[in-house]
Amino acid sequence: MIEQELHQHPFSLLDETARSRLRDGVDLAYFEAGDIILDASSASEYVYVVHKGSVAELDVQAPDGREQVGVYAAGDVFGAISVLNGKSRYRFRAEQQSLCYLIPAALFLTLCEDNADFGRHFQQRLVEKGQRLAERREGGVTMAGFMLARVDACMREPLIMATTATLHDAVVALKQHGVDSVLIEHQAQYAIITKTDLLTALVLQHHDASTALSVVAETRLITVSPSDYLFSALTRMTRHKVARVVVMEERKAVGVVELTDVLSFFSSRSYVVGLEIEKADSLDALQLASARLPELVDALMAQGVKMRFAMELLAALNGRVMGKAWEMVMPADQLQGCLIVMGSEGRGEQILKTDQDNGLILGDHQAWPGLPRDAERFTQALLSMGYPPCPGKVMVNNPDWQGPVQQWQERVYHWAGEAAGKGVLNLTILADAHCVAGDRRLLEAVRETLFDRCSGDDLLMAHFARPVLQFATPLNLFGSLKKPQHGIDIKKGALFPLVHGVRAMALQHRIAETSTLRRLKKLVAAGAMEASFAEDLGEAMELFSELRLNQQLAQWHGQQTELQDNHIVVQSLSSLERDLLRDALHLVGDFKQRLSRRFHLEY
Amino acid sequence: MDIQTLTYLFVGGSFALYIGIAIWSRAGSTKDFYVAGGGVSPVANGAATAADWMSAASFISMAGIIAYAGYDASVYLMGWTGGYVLLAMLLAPYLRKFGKFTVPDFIGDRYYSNVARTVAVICVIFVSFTYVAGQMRGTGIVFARFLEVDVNVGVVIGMAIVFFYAVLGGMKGITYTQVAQYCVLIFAFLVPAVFLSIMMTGHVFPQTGFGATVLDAAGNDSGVYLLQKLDQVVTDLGFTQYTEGSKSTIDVFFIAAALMCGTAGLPHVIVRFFTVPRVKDARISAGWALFFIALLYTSAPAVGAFARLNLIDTVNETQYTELPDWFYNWENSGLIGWVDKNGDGAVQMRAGAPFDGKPNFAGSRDEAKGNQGERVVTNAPTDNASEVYIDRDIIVLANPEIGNLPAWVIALVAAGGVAAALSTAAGLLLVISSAISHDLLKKTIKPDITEKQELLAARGAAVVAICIAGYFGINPPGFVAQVVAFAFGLAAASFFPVILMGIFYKRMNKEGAIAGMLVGLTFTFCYIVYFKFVSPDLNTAEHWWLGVSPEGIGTLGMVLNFAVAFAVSRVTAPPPEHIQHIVEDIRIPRGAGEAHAH
Repeated sequence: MIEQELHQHPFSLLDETARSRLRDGVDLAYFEAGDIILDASSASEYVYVVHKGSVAELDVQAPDGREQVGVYAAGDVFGAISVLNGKSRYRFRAEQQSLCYLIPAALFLTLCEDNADFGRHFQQRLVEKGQRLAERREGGVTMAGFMLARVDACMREPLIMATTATLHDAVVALKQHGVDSVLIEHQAQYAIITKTDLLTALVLQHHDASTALSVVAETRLITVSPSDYLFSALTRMTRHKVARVVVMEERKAVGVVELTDVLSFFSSRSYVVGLEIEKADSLDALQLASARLPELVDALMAQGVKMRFAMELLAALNGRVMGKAWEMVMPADQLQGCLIVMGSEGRGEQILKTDQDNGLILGDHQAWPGLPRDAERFTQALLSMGYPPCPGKVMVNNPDWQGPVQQWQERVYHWAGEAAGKGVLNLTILADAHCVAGDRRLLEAVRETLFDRCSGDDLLMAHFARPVLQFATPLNLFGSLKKPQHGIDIKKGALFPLVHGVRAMALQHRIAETSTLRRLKKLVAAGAMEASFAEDLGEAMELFSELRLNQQLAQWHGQQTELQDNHIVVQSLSSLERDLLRDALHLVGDFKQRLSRRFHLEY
Repeated sequence: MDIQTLTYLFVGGSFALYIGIAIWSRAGSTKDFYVAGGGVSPVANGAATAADWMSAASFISMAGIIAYAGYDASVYLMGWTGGYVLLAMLLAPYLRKFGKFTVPDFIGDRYYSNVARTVAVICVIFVSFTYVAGQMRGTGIVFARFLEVDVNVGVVIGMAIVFFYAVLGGMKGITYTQVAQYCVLIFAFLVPAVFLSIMMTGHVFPQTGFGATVLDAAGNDSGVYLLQKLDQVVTDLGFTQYTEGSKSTIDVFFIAAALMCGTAGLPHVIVRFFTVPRVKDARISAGWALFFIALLYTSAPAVGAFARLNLIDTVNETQYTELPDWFYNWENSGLIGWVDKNGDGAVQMRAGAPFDGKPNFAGSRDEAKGNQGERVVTNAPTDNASEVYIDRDIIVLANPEIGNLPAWVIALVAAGGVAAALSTAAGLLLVISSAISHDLLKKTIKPDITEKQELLAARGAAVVAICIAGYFGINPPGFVAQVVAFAFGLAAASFFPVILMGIFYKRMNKEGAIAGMLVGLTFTFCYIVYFKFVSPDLNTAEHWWLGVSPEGIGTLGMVLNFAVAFAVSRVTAPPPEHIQHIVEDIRIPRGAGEAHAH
């Protein structure tokens, strides 16, 4: 019976002799629901492989309601880390009647020693677990959490005093509120006085304690907005060599961010990539920084960061890379145009670098004689940064994807009139357009036209949506996963219909968001989809992206080269993953059916 | 191999072909992401449209009607073909520019009114229902014959298959399945037609054979034209002359017009025009579709004439016990009935009905035999000399057997009948279910319905629709032809003028449209009900208004609709600015320059 498990990861890493030793050495044990299989702080004599049922991993020290750390289902292994560590950190309890194979600890350790890959697998798990544990201890702030944190998550209430206040008043107030700086407001202008400023004024410049604050205050403020990323606030502090920035919203001071607060968010050094991008002052520096993005992805995945956060972070970073490259390459007097990215970049769902799909919307009166040459330089710059060219030539250096707003609007009408192949394809690409640099209002104007022309035209929308039915969902007649040797195409069979269907619905409902997850939210708000269904679709989308990314990362590491792009071999997934994948694919099937009704595709 | 095995083989094989194509076209993963319908050639699309268009009525019944009614039946040929042309030329190109899939959607938006939409939905549902009921009867007949079951059991089997095919299989959306169905259908119709044409006239094309001279038993030219001979034979038996019509010219004109305008709004065919993305391609495929439809429609009169002649030749004055097998088979299916009025043991075909209504048999097929071994008919016999009832709908199916054609031709015809019934019935079912769930529920009655409920409603509507259609298939009201006329007349009188003016007259407003629809609808409804149901005895030419029969009155209702709508719209406020703008827009190509206005 253990044969089935032996062919799965990680046992598939063992050679045949090791497997037969294992086959001879294992026992099968039965546990009632509620049985404690392995208690916290006790030494484990076995490594357990779940055959049937499920086992919960519990943190006995955690507060009520948060003790569950993980669940193990058929095919999953637990207790290995306890064996390697000497004792178990958590309690393992049977959730339902369960059957487990027991691998004696001694046998397991010999197997690890004799089979390097097998051993490494568990060592790696140990490291990852350690990292995750560290994050839990630090209040759940993961690296991605930090990278994604906005300024408003970390700012303090500003202490604002009247202009008439004195140095004495300020010292009293600082002490009383336990802060390091005070703001004064004068005719809608803000100025800042820090503890250092106060000391300098009183001790070095011999000002009297009754001197008005306005005399010594610093009026040149370094500001950020509440919605900026925290790491960009940090960058500004570094660049301007100050220890705090003022948070301004609509010309009003709403907060202060202190360097010490930001530093307390640190839990990993990978954030440096973001900082490097911000600091880069030449194309070469930018190129170096952006070359480290895959590393970041790898680290994020190893830490088990939730897919939607990873996608958002990477989209922000890629956007910054392009935005900065844009500013560096293009002449300073032509920056009022709008640089848009489209396709997966536009949706913010590109994790590893994919083809560059970008375009340029110019202002209506923007004269730019050197455009062809400058655009070419920009495209080349992105190429040198590792963004491959788009096979369909959807790039800034292609005259078909640049031009003033009016020309774009004419294009929309032209493409919509064609309503076939190329025209619909172009509309699809444009529907995902997202501004990464320049004046986003230009894109909004184009998008408005796109909505006006398309959303009410049922026939056009039908042709737009039809490709969702292009590929079969990889489920067989009885609703279980297809298992071809060469793997199933996760992009064509799952990701594409989901993304494209949501895109079509968003276009129909004039939703300007481009990311699939946000589109789903807006669709719920618009009453076009039930909240529960949208949530399920979002989860499915994350699962598909994660499976696909794992495969891409494996390729990036140089493994599994015989597989085609986007192909996933079902046999190599754990049974839990398989169940999830099957459920998610059923959801896609359901979604396709709804779409074919909504867009009249069944005729 | 015997006929039975061959039939199983052909029908099963054609099904396997459709399913195979569906799987093949869905499962391919080597395709590109966006082909968006551009991959289908206009020829294929034309064939698919033709398959949608040609229903069991066209395949099975039309030649049967022609065989019996002769010249009078030509009105169906003209009306239906004309309806297609009207639809392809006058309506479809503009409707597609309006960007709406269904006629109710168009009317609801163009006349900014849910009342107008609801009236249109009801019309669409009514017309589709009548149509689908006809298909179920046809499917039932095919299954009854080739599974050797009673026609009622055949209808039930047909219901199950159509439901699976349309609602669960999702095969409707695949153009190439439709193309395959067209090919099966047209071969099944033309092969026996060509065979019979060669046997009887020596002409390969039934179209020319129809106007040629008949060969005698030795295969020599007898010098008598086919229609001459047929006229001779039928008048000898007391029927009216085959080539002589009994309807007045004005009536023929009105009936044809009502059929044309009623058919032009048939929703399941309009949709086909929309699945081709480019206008140019849509035009070309409409042309091809017309060609493909004409192949069948132009052979139908010849098939009808051959069948009539052969039938009389074979059956009339033949001893019941010496009749060919097909006669007994169809009698077993309940579609042929014989009463030996003069007791001579031979079958007499004469003008008039042998007994009242459709035959009711005493007991099941194997019991209750008469003197000659025939099934006993319990209907009250009439006092004329006519002895045999032959259901018109079996003519095409029985034709190859009557003409002694090879067994495989007979099997092929069965497969063709199934194909014809399937494609049209499935299309209509989809239309009905989406009209109810989308146009009626979602857009009018209960806009806050969730997508899941809408899907359920659609499934439910399809189930209900197929059950009702099945009921009428099993218990055809004595007046199927009347109900059909009713449906088409109402469609012509209610929404045809509204669609037309919605496209071509921008001043037409919702008041005019609603008034027009109601007047046209009420007038036609009352006229038909009066003559068909209230006082059927007055239903003769001298009592008709302007000499127009209830079948053709829809045309008059249509004229009234036009007049009332126009008058009312002149005395009420013009439609809102943006509607007028849209109407102007419909007739101007959507091009690049337009972007300035937006």
